[in-house]
Amino acid sequence: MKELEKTQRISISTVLFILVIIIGILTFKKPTNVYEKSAKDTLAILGTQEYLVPISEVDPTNTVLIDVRDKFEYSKSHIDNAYNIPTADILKETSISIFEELKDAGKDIVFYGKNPDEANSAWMILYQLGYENIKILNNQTELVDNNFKITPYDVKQPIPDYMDVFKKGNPENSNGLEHMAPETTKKVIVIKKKKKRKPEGGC
Amino acid sequence: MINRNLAKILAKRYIILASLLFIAALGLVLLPEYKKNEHVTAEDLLAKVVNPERYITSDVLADKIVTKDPSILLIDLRTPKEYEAYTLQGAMNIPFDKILEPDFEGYLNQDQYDIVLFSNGNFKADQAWLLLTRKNYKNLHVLNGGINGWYNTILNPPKPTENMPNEAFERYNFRMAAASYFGVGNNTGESAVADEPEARKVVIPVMKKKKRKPEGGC
Amino acid sequence: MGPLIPNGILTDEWNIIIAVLIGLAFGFILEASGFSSSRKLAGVFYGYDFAVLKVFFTAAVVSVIGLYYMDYLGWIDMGMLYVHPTYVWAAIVGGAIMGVGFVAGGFCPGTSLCAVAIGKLDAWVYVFGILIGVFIFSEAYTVFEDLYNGSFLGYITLMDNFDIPAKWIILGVTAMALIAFFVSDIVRKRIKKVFY
Repeated sequence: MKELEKTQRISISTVLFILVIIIGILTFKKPTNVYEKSAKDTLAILGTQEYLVPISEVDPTNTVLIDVRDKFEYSKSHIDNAYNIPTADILKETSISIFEELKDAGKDIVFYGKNPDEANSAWMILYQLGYENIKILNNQTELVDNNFKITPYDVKQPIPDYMDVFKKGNPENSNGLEHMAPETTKKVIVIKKKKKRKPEGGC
Repeated sequence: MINRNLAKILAKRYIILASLLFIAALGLVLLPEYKKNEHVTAEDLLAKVVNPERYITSDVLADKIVTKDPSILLIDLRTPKEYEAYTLQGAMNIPFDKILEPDFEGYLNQDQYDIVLFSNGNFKADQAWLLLTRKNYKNLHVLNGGINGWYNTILNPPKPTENMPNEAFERYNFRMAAASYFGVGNNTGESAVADEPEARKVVIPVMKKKKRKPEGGC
Repeated sequence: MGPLIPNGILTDEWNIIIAVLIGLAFGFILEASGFSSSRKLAGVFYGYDFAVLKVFFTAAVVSVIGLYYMDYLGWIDMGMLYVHPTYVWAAIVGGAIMGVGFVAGGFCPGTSLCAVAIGKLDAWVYVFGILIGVFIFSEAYTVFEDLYNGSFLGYITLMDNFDIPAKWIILGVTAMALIAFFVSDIVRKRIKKVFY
């Protein structure tokens, strides 16, 4: 009889175990929008300039322009034939289905905002989700006098003469160029080496 | 009658339990596979992207540097050459294409410092921020405008015009003071030396996030 | 979602509380299975009682199946779990020493503490012996250092090593466990019963 009691306990826990698994499977939802690209792959493409297209190279027949600015900005003015999907909405089901459709149709998508910075995040997220046909418009857009102006934009250019600012106040000092920029102190940061884990007892 | 049936079943109770175990293991094999999200899901990432909290303005950062706030860690994402030419005080250089290398993981993946990423503009810093946030690194910020923004606001601020509110003048004064702290316009030999903060060595122990190790034993 | 503490759902301070709770439950199971009796433990080696084998093998199989279901359902991230590092020779030598101690003493380190808790004198001696062993090892660490740190294979698992998906290994281990139970039952029936 004692033996039976023991199996009773085992049976109860077995039933609970299986119940939890069944409940889990019934309530299980597959994750949507899974990353296709690893962070490393993405970094590799970021090093190139392939994902940036200037407006002059946009082929209007095979490209869909998407405005990632908010609805208000879009309603004021936008590039002709551009759709509006604000950055916050890019993962909505309706937007995803649009991207999916365009991808299947083999069309290119070009994101633009007021500058490439604004389209950057939306593009990065969708690129990592595997939409390789999306690019960023490498132009600045601006509403000037009711004219939607598109100007070229250079993404990573530093201000050409930003070192000159240190020359101020001593313009005649011409041969002291190496002293122009103040030496900046560099932090020395020590990383603790990962300690090897000592194996601990066991049964 | 019932008792006899029950006894029959009970006689095989171990076999039933054993087969249940096997079925559970078999179920694991038969479950359809699916691709899993690692770390932060795209939806969460988007929610973080839309939130402008990651940006730190150059004024706030200048204030933090001047007051020697020990909780910030500046990461310069530009090339080593640009870093050598000029960088923010106390910044360390992790070139953009090296941010995922394991050597730098200890600096980027920690929760003791507020990390401020900066590049020439927002573009590269944002991309780095996105990549690292996707890996669920915490406390990452982006210097709004990057070095170019820094130049335009702190080192070489635009003079406010007469019709601007008082705050604009106050901000301008602050920026001018900060700029002189950072060495603008005072490289007349001795004063540059005087103003230059001595090469202090800040030793910051950045600990790798400890994985919680369970201890064995029965 | 999980593991709870590394993912910050519970704070680090919970570690010790959870450890105490699990430890209590573990001690209870050991005592409830009768493992504080050294005769029961040694029975595995003499073939008259296989409770130890059954309990531990079942526990391992149940937890691995449960964990992988939870992993599938997204409740736990298997990649974040701790994998015990493998030092081949240290494991072999240590395992052999422990096995000898197991047969000779009739306890494993965990159950010896259980037996201490219910007041067995031999368990006290056993625990004291463990402490002496720990002391000798620590003092003579330099002698054992090469063995202790040598032949390190890293944090490997069966599926990394053989490149087989985890689910097949789990199925295999489950089958192995069931066969072991079956065989051990046959062996037990053949061996003369020992009363203890």
